[in-house]
Order: sequence, then structure tokens, then C-alpha cells
Amino acid sequence: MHELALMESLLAVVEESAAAHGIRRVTAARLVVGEFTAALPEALEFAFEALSPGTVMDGATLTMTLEEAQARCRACGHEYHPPVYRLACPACGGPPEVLKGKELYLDYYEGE
Amino acid sequence: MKVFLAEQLQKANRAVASDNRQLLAAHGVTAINIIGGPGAGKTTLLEKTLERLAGRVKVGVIEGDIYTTRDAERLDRPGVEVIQINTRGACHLDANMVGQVLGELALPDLDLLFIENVGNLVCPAEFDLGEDCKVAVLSVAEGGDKPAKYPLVFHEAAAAVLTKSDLLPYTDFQPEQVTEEILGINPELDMFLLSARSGEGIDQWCDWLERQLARKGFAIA
Repeated sequence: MHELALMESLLAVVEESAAAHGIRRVTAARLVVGEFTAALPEALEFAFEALSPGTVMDGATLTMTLEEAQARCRACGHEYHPPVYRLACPACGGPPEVLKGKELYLDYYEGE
Repeated sequence: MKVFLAEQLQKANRAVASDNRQLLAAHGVTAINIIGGPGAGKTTLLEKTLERLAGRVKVGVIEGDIYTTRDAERLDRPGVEVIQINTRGACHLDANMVGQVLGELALPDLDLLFIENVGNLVCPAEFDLGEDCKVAVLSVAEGGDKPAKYPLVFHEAAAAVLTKSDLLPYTDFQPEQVTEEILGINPELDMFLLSARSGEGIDQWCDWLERQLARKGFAIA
């Protein structure tokens, strides 16, 4: 959802960072997308293809790492992979601490 | 050369949300982000809430809609400051929109700020506005299948309000079942079943609001 806007911000950030590091062409970058974010990898990819031409990231390979959700029960300590529609602990019904699954960030980029 | 950024894609919104949060905290204002689909009963709930809190809590409202000032006009009354934001197409409020109007409110005079988001059960869940908590609003006329279909808002909320309980006789909505399903999504949600029209359940809702205020050291006189 709103992947175009997200991708626009990302491109602006990389543009600024690349300029600061003297990088004129980005060849690769890695995006981490948590399972529980409302950002669709396919839509992010589409947005990247649409917006990157003409920018420092033109032609770069964008890899997306999907982070599977993980939770730990705050009542009994059980660790589990919750489905998005049920975060409650499958062992005791207790409240979760969501350890993974809400991430949405650019891990790194490389270039020359 | 490889550059590690760990750059949040939502960084810009989060930065402004953080500023909003700081400003609200500096004035001891509790802010609640009200999220629900169009017609869930958000504005009607606020109308009833404002009536009940009148004279006891100083309330302000930031009202978000794509178009019209209809909701702000409904909530406008002596003693309550209401600001309407028209997004003119954006399907959710973001921190920047809220930040731009925060300065227009007399924050030192406020205890509680409701931010009624654009009618939408999807996108508002993803945008921090700088609030203390989110409240999800779902009416008994919208179908008990909705929580599982729109889980992210229930992940993020501190409370879920099932509205229009006066309509239960005319629907298939099973409040106990839906409550159980919602608590399965997020066991820590405080749940409410109420009717702004009949007044049923409104007391419990207002008690909860007062508990949120108490967290910031506010006590009803």
C-alpha cells in the first residue's frame, strides 16, 4: 500500500547518501519487508521499475528479503510464527511480543 | 562500495510523528487516533463522548475527511476546539497533515485530543500520527467477518469498539464470537460494545478514556 510513495522516499534517501559517498551509480540494494507490513513486494518492485530510471539507482538490482513474522508469548515464553489474523499464543492464548514481521527498511546499497 | 543504511521507508512520517508526540506530551495532551471504515459510527461516537465529557475534560478534535466539513460541523460546540483536515484524495491522515494543524489548537488548554481518521479500515493502521493510541471502530452492521479481513488495524490498536449495538436485532452479528476473534488477533485489546444512540456501553467507554488520561497524570475534578 502506498508503495510508490515509499519508493519515492527510498530513491531520495539513496540519491542523497550516494552523493555524500561519491557513488555515481548504484548497482544493487536490499530491501527488508516484514510479513505484517502492508507493503507488497510485487508492488514495491513495480514502483522501483517505474521510478528508478534516470536516478542514481537506474539499472540497479533490487533484492527483497521477506521477513517472516515471529512472536514470543509474554505469558508462557512460547515462540511461534503467528498468522496475520491471530497473534495470540497458540499454546496458552497469551499476548504476543512481535519479534519480527513489522520491518520495512533499506538494508544497504552498493555502487561505484 | 557498500553502504549500510538500515533506512526505514517510513522514516519521514515517523520523524514528524515523533515531533507531534513530543509536542503533545509537552502539553500533557492525550491523543487518540480513531480508525474505522466509512459509516462505522466514529463521528457519532465522538458526538456522544463529547456530550458525556463536557465540563469535565477539555477536548479538542482533529477531523480527517477526504472532502466536506460535515463532521467538524457536527462536533463543533462551545468548549470544544475542532479542526477539519480535507485530504482531497489521500485515504489516510499522515503525521505531516496532523503536525501542520497542531499549532492551531490551544494545546496548553487541552486534556484530550481525538483525531478522527479518514473512513478507512486499511491504510490508517500503517501511519503513526504521534498519538498515544489507536482505537479501532467497527459497527455491528458491517459484518463480523471484518476483523480477520482487516487484521492490521487490530494489531495496532489499544481498544476496539463495536458500535450500533441497538441494531443487533436486525443483523446476524454475533458480538461474543466477534469479540473472541478480535481478541485472538490481539489479546491485549480492550473491547467495547456500545450504542451512541441508546447510550448503552458509553459509560464503560468513557471510563476507559479517563484511564488513558490518568496515565498522563490527569484527574477528573
